Amino acid sequence: MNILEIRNLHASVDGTEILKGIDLILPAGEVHAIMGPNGSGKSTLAYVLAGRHGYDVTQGEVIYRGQDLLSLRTDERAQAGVFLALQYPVEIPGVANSVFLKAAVNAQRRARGEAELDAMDFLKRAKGYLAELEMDQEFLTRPINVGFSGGEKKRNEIFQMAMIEPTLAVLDETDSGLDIDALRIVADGVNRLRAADRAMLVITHYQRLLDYIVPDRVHVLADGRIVRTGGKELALELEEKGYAAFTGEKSAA
Amino acid sequence: MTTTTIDCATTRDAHLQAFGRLAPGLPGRGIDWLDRLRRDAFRRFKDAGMPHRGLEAWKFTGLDLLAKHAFSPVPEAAAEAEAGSDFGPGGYAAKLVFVDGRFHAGRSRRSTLAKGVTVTTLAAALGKTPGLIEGRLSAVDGAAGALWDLNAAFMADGAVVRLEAGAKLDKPISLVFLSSGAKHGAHHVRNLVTLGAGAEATVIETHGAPGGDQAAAFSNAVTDVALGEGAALMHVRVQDLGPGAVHTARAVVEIAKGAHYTSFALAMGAALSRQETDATFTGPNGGVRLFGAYLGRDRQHLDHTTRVDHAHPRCCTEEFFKGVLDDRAHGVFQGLIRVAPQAIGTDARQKNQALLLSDRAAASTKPELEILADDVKCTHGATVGDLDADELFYLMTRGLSEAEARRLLIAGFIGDVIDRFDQGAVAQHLHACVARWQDRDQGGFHG
Ligand SMILES: Nc1ncnc2c1ncn2[C@@H]1O[C@H](COP(=O)(O)OP(=O)(O)OP(=O)(O)O)[C@@H](O)[C@H]1O
Ligand SMILES: [Mg+2]
Repeated sequence: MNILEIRNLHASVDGTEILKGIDLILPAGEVHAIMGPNGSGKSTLAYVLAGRHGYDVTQGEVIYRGQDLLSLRTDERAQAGVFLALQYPVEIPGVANSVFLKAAVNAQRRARGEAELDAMDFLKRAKGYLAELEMDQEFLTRPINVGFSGGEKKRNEIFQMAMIEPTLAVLDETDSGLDIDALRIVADGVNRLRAADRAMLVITHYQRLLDYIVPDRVHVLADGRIVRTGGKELALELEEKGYAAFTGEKSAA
Repeated sequence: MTTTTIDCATTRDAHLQAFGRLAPGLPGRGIDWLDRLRRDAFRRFKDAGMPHRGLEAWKFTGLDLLAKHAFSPVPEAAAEAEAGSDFGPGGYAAKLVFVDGRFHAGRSRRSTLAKGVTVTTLAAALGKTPGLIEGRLSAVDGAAGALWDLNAAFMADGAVVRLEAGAKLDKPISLVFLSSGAKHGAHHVRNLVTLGAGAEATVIETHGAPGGDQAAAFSNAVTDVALGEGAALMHVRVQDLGPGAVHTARAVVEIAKGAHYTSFALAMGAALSRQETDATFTGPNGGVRLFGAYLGRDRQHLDHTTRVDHAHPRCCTEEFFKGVLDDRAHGVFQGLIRVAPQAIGTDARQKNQALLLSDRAAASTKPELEILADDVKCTHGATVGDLDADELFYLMTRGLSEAEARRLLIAGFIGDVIDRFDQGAVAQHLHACVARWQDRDQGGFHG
């Protein structure tokens, strides 16, 4: 079964076409990496999958577990199991991480007809994951991402993902801004979530991440199109040659 | 609907007519200095009339409702007010309840208080030991204007809280002021909070109407605060009156050397509300921290006006007010900070942020920094905006519905200023007040 099927996806922002026909199949149990130069449309793809306002799909379709993803609102997608780790996680003063996350986890459980977690269960699970991610417990009472370092924000995204246990995780440059140790911790967090009934789309600029999160496929996105797809060795090739070869190929074509 | 007493057009008329009739029954009658004080205040009020938009300090806030209806001073304690037993915070050292401006012994709780702490009522103090409060009562507040005068003329009761030097209260004193169902009643409470050197206390005022009372009342409260050297007071005022109410409140604060006054003023009820704070340093090295929020919807008009007078060296002022306005609500923040030439080393910051949830809601801000000294730090910032689209999106990617996300963001927006004020039980109480306000929104959000 495929978790995600993207067919001929075109999307515009403010009337400018950014995604120009993307095709991508993500089977259950697999991890795919998306690499590509700055401005090629990676985050745009992530936002379109999450249903962000202002990202208009002009053509094509996205099927998530056999269901039309594009007809769902952002919160409905999340409740259906789609998770996006943002490239730039947002700071929200005044809202404690724990309050937010408990509301999120329970909104999802309600939507799936599961019993809500009570405060004790929530705390127990949260503390467990915080320990695994080597994050301080006091983090729960701090306002969302306020005053966090870049790396801490990224860890927070992975922490949320762990708590939410999504079916499809889209990680937008979660490795950027992480030191080597943090990278390993975050990668462990991601790997723990790998499962036969889940799938992940990992957007990254660095081959290094893919040493830790070994992808089943690597896609190269350039100028709104997937210009090349291959195995994990494609990442090494990119590291060596740079994107110029691919984007050049494209513009010459 | 029948109105019984109204043969005068405005609140002013109603008060002018009532004074001769009511004055003999007001507490402290026969005490020379007090009779004179009331008479002088009444005369000033008669001459000046109600504040109006022509006055600079009132340009954003008109008391039109007081002219539209004749709010009359309530002549005596009302019969039992409904419900309201859960008004104010739990976990208090003492709780004094006033109904229509009169002490209600049955609802009040006074356990044994720590040594050096006295909690009583204005009427009782005037009956037994008027000399003890003469100084505070007769300190005429020149800047206060007509509403203070009206209060001085008609004050019928209030709380008197007194801490001797070094006395400390670890739990708050809760003062609850309820408006009963008496239609177009007016009441004027006067509270006196006096802290001796090094004393510490928390006083929480709650102005409410049992059961979200529809009947309109006019409550005009004055709280006089005097802090001795090194004393510290935390002063909370929660205004959660019924939708027809008019509320004007004034805290007049004197801060001696090294003393600290920290306050939170929350306006969430009433049709028209104006909470003023007027703080004056009477010695060096003092601190004033004023926080507050207004939460408005429908056609509510909610005003926070502050004035801090720096006439001594090295005092600090921090002001931070936030507001959330929906529908056609109007929020006002005015902040005057005066720094006299001798007030070197003053550090004053002022910040005001409003969230407008509707196109027709409005926020007005008037910062005024009058700085006559060198070597001072004064800053001001004001912003007005809608909920942040990135923040909404972020929360919704985690499965929160738009309504839930908005609710969380609004609670967080106000929670931010509450957190800066306090992190303990008092903050919890304020967070709960905000949640109660949010729960009242039946119609859902219309972004
Ligand atoms: N509101 C907008 N209006 C017009 N163009 C936009 C808008 N938002 C983004 N873009 C453009 O869309 C293109 C794709 O941006 P996107 O953020 O998806 O790139 P990316 O591949 O994620 O880049 P990076 O590696 O730097 O994160 C960029 O050229 C960007 O300038
Ligand atoms: Mg990007």
